[in-house]
Amino acid sequence: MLGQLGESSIVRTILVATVLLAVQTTVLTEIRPLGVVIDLVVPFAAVAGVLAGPRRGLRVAFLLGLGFDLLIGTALGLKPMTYSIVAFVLALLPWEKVLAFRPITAVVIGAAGGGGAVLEVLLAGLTGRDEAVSLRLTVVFAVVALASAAIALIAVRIMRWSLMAGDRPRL
Amino acid sequence: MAFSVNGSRRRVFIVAILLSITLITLDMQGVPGLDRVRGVAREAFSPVQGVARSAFRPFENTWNGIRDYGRLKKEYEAARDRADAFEAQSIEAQSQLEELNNLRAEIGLRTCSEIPLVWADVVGRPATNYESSLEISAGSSDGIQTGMPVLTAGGLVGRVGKTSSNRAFVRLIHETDVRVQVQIRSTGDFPKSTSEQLEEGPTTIGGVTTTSSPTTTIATTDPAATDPATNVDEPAADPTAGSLPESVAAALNDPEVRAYFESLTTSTTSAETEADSTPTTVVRAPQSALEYGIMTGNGPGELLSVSLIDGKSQVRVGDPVSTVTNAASLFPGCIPVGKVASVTPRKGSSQVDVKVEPIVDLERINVVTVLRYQPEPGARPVSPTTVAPSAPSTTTSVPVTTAAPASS
Repeated sequence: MLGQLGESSIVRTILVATVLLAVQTTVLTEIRPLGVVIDLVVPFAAVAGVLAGPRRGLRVAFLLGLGFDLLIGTALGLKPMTYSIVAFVLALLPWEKVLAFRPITAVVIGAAGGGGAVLEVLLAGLTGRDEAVSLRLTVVFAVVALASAAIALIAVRIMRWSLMAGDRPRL
Repeated sequence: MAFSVNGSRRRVFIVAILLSITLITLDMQGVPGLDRVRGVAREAFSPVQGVARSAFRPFENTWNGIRDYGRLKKEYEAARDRADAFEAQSIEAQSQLEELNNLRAEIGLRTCSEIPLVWADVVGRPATNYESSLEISAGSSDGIQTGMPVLTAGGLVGRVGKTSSNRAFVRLIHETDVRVQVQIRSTGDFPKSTSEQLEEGPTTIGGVTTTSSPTTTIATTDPAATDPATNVDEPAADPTAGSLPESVAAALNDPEVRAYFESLTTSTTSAETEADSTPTTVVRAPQSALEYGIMTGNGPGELLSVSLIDGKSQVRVGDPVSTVTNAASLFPGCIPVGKVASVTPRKGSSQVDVKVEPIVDLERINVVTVLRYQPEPGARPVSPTTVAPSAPSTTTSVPVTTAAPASS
């Protein structure tokens, strides 16, 4: 039974999400190069969109964002919206070509990560939290994009292990 | 490409967006159920976070060590130099604080030391790039409620935002939607009083030599003087001993005038004790005025802004800024905030833009104190006015209500 649980895509995805959120809400709040918080959940949400498609990938991204928002004190709903948009946009790309070449994978996931971080700040500005909307967003984009590109290949492996368990199709 | 997605996939996307907007709207409305759900989620996840913190602490320490080594070394050396000077000042400050607390008690004003407080560690730093709330290790079970002021040993840090049973988030004062009523104790150039006009330079009147500085007046009494009038601020002069004009000397010889000055005599002057050969030095406190304004933040790393400061005020760079004593204020009036960093005239307005540098380094806070203070509901606020040096400032008492534990 444990073996079957271990094969379950849902269980694996929950495990990955738990570790990811634990790391994001602890060590990554302390390690902030140039004062930028590296959001590593965005590239995973982007990879979910690429691997699992615009329906399942978007659901995973939404739930990742919801879990993140529940743990921190910011406006509930911002991260689900951000990650959903990122996952949906990435899901529209020809995934075979994105995953065919590693440099392309890293660049695409990196750009998605940086874009997602900037998008989140802009959406927060729409809700009244606009102190971060400035030219500094270019620094935020650069730092998060670099970090996302660095872990892109690892994220693909991990999300493939969790989302595609049991040969689940891309939806 | 974007429009080739079939209808069901587009529907999922639209539902996700609408659900997110609904959550944002409900959260901004402050629906209690959502806070409860968040509290439960945080409580359930805290063991996992604890394990993660322990596991990744070496990486954090390595990163902080590399990043902060040079800065910490410089700060340590500078702090050592300042420590000796502060030790002497702390003794004087302690006695002044006791006197202030006694005076406050006499007029029924609650002191900060009487407000219950809760100590808490900072267990979480900002997790996003658009907000800078800190997570602390105390919550509603410790009596903490939303809105309570948070400070460190140095000064004001912010106020409590969302709370759960044993955690709370602190909104820092540099966030744009955190507003604080503040007072600036301006020590600018005030019009000279009559006694100061007489003291343009060293003046000897009746054995009393008086000198002045920009902010203080120092008078020394010559113990050899036989004149019984001894209040050095209002010297009763022997008209033949000083350099006063004849008319002034004659006025001072008037019996009624001399009687008035003699009534100001204190019992501790050296002239009364002829055997005392130690000169008496009296230092008058520097003149100051209180300017009231509203302070707001401009984001992390930026100076704080204070508005509603009149252009005719005497606010200068370096003037201390603290919270204002006001029954309707969200903060008790005894918390230092920072110092004035710049004063800039505002074009087309009679007001000035005041920038304040916070005392506390908001990027490096590890332990905080939460004051269990809440303003009295329905209290009438004091209208912010400039207080002239000679006029007493009006204050109202600030009672402390017992904070009931809030539901998370």
